[in-house]
Amino acid sequence: MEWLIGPLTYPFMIRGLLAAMLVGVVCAVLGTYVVLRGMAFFGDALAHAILPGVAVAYLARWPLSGGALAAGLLAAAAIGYLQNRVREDTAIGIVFSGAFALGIVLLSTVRTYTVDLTHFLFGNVLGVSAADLIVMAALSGGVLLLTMAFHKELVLVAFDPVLATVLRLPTTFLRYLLLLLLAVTVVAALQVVGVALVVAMLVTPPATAHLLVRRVGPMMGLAALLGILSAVAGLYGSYYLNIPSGPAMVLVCTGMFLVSLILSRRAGWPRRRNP
Amino acid sequence: MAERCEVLRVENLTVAYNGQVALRDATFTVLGGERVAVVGPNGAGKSTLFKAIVGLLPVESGWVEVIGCDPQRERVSVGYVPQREDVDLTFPVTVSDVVMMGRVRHIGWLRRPSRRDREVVRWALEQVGLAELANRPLGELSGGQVQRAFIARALAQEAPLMLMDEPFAGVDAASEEAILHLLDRLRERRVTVLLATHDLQMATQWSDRVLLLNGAVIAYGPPAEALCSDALRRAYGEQLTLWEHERGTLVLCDGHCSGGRR
Repeated sequence: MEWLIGPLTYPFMIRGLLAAMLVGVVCAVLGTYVVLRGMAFFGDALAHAILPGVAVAYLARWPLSGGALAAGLLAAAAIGYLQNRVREDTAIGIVFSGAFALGIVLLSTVRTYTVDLTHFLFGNVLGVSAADLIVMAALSGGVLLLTMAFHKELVLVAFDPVLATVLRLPTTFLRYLLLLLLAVTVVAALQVVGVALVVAMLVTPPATAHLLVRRVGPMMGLAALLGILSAVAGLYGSYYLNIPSGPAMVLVCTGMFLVSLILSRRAGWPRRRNP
Repeated sequence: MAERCEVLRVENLTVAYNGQVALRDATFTVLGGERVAVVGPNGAGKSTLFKAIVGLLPVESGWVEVIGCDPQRERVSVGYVPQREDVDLTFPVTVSDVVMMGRVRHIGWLRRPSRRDREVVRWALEQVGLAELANRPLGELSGGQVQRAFIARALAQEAPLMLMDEPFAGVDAASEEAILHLLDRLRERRVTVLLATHDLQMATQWSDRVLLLNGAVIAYGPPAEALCSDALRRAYGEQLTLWEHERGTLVLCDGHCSGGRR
């Protein structure tokens, strides 16, 4: 038991653990829609595209979450607009790389450039302050509440946009709602795993759950559980093996995915059958 | 339900698809409980018409009115079964989950399905003969069963108007029989059905009225009238060979339509 409790004598470890678990849950829940709608590339791009917002907020000493959220929404809107002119994945590629480069250029004006950039890219979960934790809890709580409220509509739009139109659901509203929720989730996860690795927390736990269960509700629940598990295991791993915590969490996710890939093949469940 | 009221009114409807006008200046009305077969050669605008009615394609000019409401603006329940459902069959849903999606508007925002919603889903699955498969993942169904699940979903909408686009295309015999049986049940319930088909024989035997299309409305009326040799020639042109005979007309198409006699 000593090895389990030992790290918790440090307040920064407790804060880090809480932050990581929170992010594990909210990323897994939102990530379920991301996986079901095939938006993994979009999620990754959105995460990278918040970097200039973070950089500006950092330089101006504004709250980082505010800058990140503004940049995320701006990027989502830019991608949405460009989609009408070029292919969607091209639009995502252009906005994402451009914004990311701008963020790096802005950060390079700071003297402690390398350290700061590393924290933004790969997270700094042990640097989470009590105030940060409160902001993250508020963002995550808001995302989870809205997700619960619009769950059946979000699932319907993901499964069959044609039916959504026939039933005259407000599809544009639902699309932007999902983008907004995604942007907020990425911002909440920024300090824990960083912009470069957020997509792993979004996509890998739901993808793992998708291999094991066959309904959306259980998939979301299992994904959240796996998210918490990888957050805890990753943080302990980083403590004892002296490795960075963000990548450690991601590697736990990846490991669980590989295990369930093998398990589901053993069970012979039909996957990816062509219609 | 009032039987002789107008359920669908289409007036001077022009719809473009991929930048080309696919249906020009269509005008017709359908009364409650009627069975209308929509026929015409490939690219005649059958699917385009259905998509415009449910709001999947923008209307260039004219309008569509479903039971006194403009479906562009109002919430109107129209059941629509597309020719081919373009959905991800690995999506983690069961058959009854899919059918419950047809109830989303009845359930309402921020609510969960009620007992009545679950009863309607059960009923809809029974109508298409899938009650035993209610808890199966969608991906484990055969092509015909998937088609029936989507028909059950349209049924669960309890819509007074149902649009079915080629429901018999590529389904197995069991599914075809289930769909035919279902069409009879819909008639009992006075549901108005528009059914797009290539099958002129089916259109003749099944429908109260036939809507013959070829980029525009060629003829609309009782089968014997709408499918007269003259109208058929105008719709199908060179694709069609007609043998007039004292016992009727033998129709042969070399397009993708099946022959039939009248």
